[in-house]
Amino acid sequence: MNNNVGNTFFKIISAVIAFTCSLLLIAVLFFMLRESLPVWQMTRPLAFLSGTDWSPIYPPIQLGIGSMLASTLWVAFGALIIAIPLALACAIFLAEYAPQWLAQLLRPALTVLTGIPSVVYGFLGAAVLVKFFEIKFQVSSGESLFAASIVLAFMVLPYIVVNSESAIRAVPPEYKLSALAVGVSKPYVTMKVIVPLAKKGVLGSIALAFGRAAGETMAVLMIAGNVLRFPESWFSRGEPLSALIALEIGSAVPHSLHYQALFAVGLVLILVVTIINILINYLVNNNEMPRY
Amino acid sequence: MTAINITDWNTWYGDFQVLNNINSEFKDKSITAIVGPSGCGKTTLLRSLNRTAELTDNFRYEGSILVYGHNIYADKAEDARRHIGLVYQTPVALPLSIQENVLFGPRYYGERKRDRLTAIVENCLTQAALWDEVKDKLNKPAFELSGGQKQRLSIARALAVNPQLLLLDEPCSSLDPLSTGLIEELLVKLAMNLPIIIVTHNLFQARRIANETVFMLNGKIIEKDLTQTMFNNPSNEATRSFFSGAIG
Amino acid sequence: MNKVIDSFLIIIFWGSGLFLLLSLISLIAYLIVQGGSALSLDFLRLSPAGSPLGTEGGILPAIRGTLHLILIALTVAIIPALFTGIYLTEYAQPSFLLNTMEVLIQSMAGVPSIITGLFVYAWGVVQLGWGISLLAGGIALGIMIFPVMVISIRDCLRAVDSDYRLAGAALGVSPAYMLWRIILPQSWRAIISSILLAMGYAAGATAPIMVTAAAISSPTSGNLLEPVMALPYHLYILFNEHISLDNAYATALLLVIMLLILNSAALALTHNGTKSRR
Repeated sequence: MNNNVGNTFFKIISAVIAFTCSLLLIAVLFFMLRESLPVWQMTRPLAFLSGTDWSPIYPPIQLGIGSMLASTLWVAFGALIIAIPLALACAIFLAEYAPQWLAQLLRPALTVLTGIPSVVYGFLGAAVLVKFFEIKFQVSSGESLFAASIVLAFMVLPYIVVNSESAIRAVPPEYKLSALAVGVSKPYVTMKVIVPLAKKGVLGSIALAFGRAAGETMAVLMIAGNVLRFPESWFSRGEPLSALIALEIGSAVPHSLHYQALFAVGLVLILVVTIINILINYLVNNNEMPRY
Repeated sequence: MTAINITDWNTWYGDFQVLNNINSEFKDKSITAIVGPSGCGKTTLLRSLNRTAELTDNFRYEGSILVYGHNIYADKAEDARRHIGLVYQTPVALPLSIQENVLFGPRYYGERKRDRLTAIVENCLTQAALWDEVKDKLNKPAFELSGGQKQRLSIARALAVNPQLLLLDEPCSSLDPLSTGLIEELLVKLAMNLPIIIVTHNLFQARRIANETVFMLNGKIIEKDLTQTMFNNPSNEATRSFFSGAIG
Repeated sequence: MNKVIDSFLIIIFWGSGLFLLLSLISLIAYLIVQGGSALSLDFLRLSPAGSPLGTEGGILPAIRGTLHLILIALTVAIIPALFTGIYLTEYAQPSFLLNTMEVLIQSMAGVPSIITGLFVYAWGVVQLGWGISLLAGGIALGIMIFPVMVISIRDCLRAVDSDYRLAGAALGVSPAYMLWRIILPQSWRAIISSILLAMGYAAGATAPIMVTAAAISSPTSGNLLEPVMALPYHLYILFNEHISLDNAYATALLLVIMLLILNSAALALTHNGTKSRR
C-alpha cells in the first residue's frame, strides 16, 4: 500500500520536527539560565530584582535591575492604558458599526500597521514626537517613558483591535438579536451584552499586547531616554530591560560577570513575558490562537 | 443471507454511554432503515460501522461487529473504511472536477489504467443516477452542481471503491422532494446487489424503500422487523408511539 | 439621557476607527514627504559614503544584507514551520501533549526578539564561534519567525472545510493524501501569504540582528561568517548617531515601501482565493 507507507513516513517526519521545534522555548530558557547561573548563585534573586544600582563592571559591583524593571513595567502598562480604550472602541467599530467598504479599508490598514517595523515607529517617535515635546514643553530632552508609552501604544493597538474584533464577532448573534428585540439601542447592547461576552478574548489580546510592549526594544531604545536611574514619574527618562540588554551586550566580554548579568536580565524579561502569556492561555482557555 | 452481525455492541464518549448492548443482524441485498428520535444513537451506530466514530476523542467501544463474517475492528481503520461506504447528510463535493470526485478513492488505491478509470466514472455515475446529467461536463468543477446532484455524486464516490456495504446518514434531509425521489429510486436499485443501511428522520422514506426497519431509543434497539410490520403491527409500545407520532 | 450616551458612544466608535485609518495614512504620507527626495535610484545603487559614513551615497549593502538575512531566515524556518503546522493540524490527536506543544509554540511567538537575539548570540556567536555574522543573524530571524509562521499556517489549514476531511476519511484515505490532493491545493495561497508576512516581519526586525549580525559598515559580500549591514539597523544608526536625518527618512520610507509591497502581495493572494471552491 504505497499511499499508506507514504503517509506513515510523512507522519513520523512531521511529528519529529514538530516535537523538536516545540522545544525551542525550553532551549532558549535553558541557555539563558546556563549563561546567567553564576549571577543567581552570587546574588539573592530578590536583591537582583529590586536593587536600584546597576554597576556590573566597576567595583563595587552592584547588580540591581530594579530601575530597569520599573521602566519596563511603567512603559508597558502606560502603553496599555493609552491603547486599550482606543483599541476596544476601534474593535467595536469594526465589528458592529463600520460599513462594509470602510471595514474593508480598515482591516488591511491594521495589518499594514502591524507590519511596520518597530525601528520605524521608534524613529518617527524620536524624530517627531520627542521633538514635539521638546518644542512644546520647552525641555532639553523630550525623551521620556511617557513618549515611549505613546509610541508603544500605537504599536500594540492593531493587535488588540484585531484580536478583540475576533472575540466580539465570535459572540453568537442570538445574544445581540434577543437583546435588541427587547427594544434597547444598539450601543446599549454593545456595551452591556456583547463586550462582556467577548471579555475572554479581549483580555487575551491585552495580555498579548503587554508582552509585546514589555519586550519591545527598538522603540524604547530611541525614545525612553536610556538613563540608568529609577524613574520617578511617567515623564522621567528610563531604561527598560530590553534596552539595557541591547545597549550593553555588545561591549560585554563573553562570560564575564557583566555578560552573565545581562543574561540574567534576559531571563527575567523572558520569564515575565512568558509566564503572563501562559497564565492568560489557561485563563482564556480556548484554542483560538491570537494573531501575532 | 446475513451481511452484518453486531454483537453486544456498547460505545462511550468519555463517561457518557451512547450505545447500549446493541445486538442485531442486517441482511444482504436489502435496505434497512434505522429510525428514532434525535440523540438515540443512530448516527453513532452508523459511524461505528464505518469506523469514523473513533475519530472523536474519548471514544470507547466493547463488543464486535462482523461484516460478512469479518471483524472490522481487527483491521487498521483505513482498511476497514475502504470496504464500507458512508454518505453524509451534507452533500460534499470535493474541490475537484466531477470526474476526479468519483475517482478520488480509486486513484488513492492505485488504479492507474485509463480505460478502467473511465469505466469506473461511467459505472458509478450511472448507478448514482447522475450520468446523464453530467456526462458532458465531467471536467467541470463539482461545486457547480446542485445539492441533490452533489449528494448523488457523493454516492457515486462511495461506490467507486467497491464497498461491501453502503451506509447513508439522513442523505436527503437537506434536499428537495424531487432529488429525494431520485435518490430513493437509485438506492432501491443498488440494493439488488448491496446491503444498504439508511438512517432517516423521515418515516415515510423508511416505508417507501426499506425492507426492514430498526427503531432505536436512548442508545438501544427497541424493535426490528419488516417495515410493514413496524408500521402496522409493532410489538413494542414505544415503537407504536413513535410510529404514530406521539414521541420523537 | 440614554440617547446622549448612545450618541457619545457612537461618536467614539466612529472616531477611533477613523483615527486609526488617518494615522496610517498620515504616517506614510509624512514619510513620503520627508524621505521622498532622498530616495533616489542612486540611493539604492550606491554604498554609503561621506564623512561620517552615510551622509552621502546610498544604502546598497544594507539592502543586500537585509535580503541575505531574509533568505537565510526563510530557509531556516519554512520547512520546519510547514511540517510542524501540518502535524499539529492534521495528525496530532487532542491530548495533553498536543496542548503542551501548542502552548510552547505560542509562548515562543511571544518571546521578545531581543531575547531570541541573545540566545543566538550565546549559542552561535560565542559558543560556536561564528562571531557577529550573517549566519547568526539569519538564524536568529528564522527562530523569531518560526512560531509566528506555525500559528498562521495552522489557521490556513484549519480554514479548509472539515467536511472534505470527513469525506476522505469515510473512503479510507490517508491524511497525507488529503493534504496532497485537497487541503494544500485549497490553502496554498493563504500559506504563501503567511510566508510573505513573515518575510516582512524578518526584514524589519532590528533587535535580534543588532546583537548577532549587524555592523555599521560592511561590504556585505554574502560571506556567511561576516557581519552585514541591514536596513533597520542602518536606519537606527543614521538617526542615533546623527549622521543624516534625510537619509534616515529615506531608509525608513524604503522599509515601509517594502512592507507595503509584501502586504499587498499577501492580501492579493488571499482575496483571489476567496472565490469559494465549494
